[in-house]
Amino acid sequence: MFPNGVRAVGNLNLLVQPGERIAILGPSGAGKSTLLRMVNGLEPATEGVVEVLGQTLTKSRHREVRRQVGMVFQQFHLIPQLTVLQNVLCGRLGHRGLAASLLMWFPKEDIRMAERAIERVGLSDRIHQKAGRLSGGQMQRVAIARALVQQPRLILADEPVASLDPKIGRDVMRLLRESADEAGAAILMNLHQVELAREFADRIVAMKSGEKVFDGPAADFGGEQEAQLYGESG
Amino acid sequence: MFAGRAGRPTGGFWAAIGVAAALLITLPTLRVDPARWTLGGLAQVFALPSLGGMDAFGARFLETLEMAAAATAISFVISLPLSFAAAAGLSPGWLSAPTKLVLAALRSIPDLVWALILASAVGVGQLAGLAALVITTLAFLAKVFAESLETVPGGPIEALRAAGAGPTAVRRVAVLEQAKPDIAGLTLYHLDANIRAASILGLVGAGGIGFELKLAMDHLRYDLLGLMILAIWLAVAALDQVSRFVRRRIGA
Repeated sequence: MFPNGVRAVGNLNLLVQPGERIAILGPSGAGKSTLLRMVNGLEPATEGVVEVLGQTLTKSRHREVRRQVGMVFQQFHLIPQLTVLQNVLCGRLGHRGLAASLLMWFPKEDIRMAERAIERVGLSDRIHQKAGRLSGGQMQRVAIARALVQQPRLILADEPVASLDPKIGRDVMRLLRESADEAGAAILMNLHQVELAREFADRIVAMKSGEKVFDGPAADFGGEQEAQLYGESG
Repeated sequence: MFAGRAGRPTGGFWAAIGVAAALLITLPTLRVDPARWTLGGLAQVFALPSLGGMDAFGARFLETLEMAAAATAISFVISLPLSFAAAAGLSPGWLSAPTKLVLAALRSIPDLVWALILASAVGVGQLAGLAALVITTLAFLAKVFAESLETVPGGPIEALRAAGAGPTAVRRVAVLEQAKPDIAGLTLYHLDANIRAASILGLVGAGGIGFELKLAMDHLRYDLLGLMILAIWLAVAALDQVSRFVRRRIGA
């Protein structure tokens, strides 16, 4: 077991290596989202075990694991009433105590870290704007910055660009991959577009009805595999 | 418009039936006897009031506003933590269910009755009125705050949990921040309701302008009555502007 690895064992075996970029593909209802959410304990593993960061995931380890695992959602899940900076600082809440929780007081280093992350995602000019007033693409950039300030070893991305138009979606995918690389974080992402998976992942895992039907380098996932995966109903 | 998708009556249909039934039952019991009407008094109330009577009730009027403001502020501070205790999903069932029951019990007694009860406990005066307003206001605010906390969008809650934030941080940041515009609006709305409530508590001797209102009526001083109503109306209208401003500032 790799110290940075993630292993979800049910009827499915998946090992994530440090820094690896894995796309999970499959028809809706294949269990992609459940798989992703099992990694940080948002969804309980009904059978088998999940091993994250070198240890079995138990309820008592949820917070410790979640602190080091960023997550990006299809619907961004920002707090619209808070500013961009405040939303990004939410990524530090897991690392900080009661003062941050109750008064939203963060140490200077956290604020600097958040400012850097906001600069990295290209939103420095919107830092004090309310998140609810941003466009979809901007919101997902804020969500990525929120994940980055966790200094994560792994980023889970659940259909990160499914709500964005193709051009902006591609920009966000590029940002996600580059910033994860810089942070030294692995990415485990659910995608429904094979094109994006081929372009942005090293490895593709294809799922159908909760079973793994393909696991290999992204380049090996061709038209034949694609037809098989989406062709007949599982 | 009253038919649902499967041709079954909708909620709107049943609501219309209910309203019609209520009118049919209650209207015959309403006695209308124009012979007893004296509309002259009403006309005087709404005639242009003379400002001469101001000093007669000015202090009482300010007392009314103070009572309403103090009661709302005190209730706000108490009801915020109480609403977290009452909100399903944010506190355990053994706490939220009884809290809701107690709040409902407190709410079922009108403020005028509370004022009477409390006047017998702490004596006639402003304190009884203030305490009555605090009880009814906190019972109302805690309930509506809890409802607003319960219905906050779940996405940000999940996002913060996924980032390793603890239960306190999730409630304070993801839940409370999203409910804030609602909470501010409800509080301001109730401040306005409290000005009106504080205006009549004086009828039972619990402070405020109510006592002066009753005196003016007893002495057929409709001009003074009109002036007092004008003052109350101005206060409520001014508050309306303030609350609109605050809501615009807070709303996302």
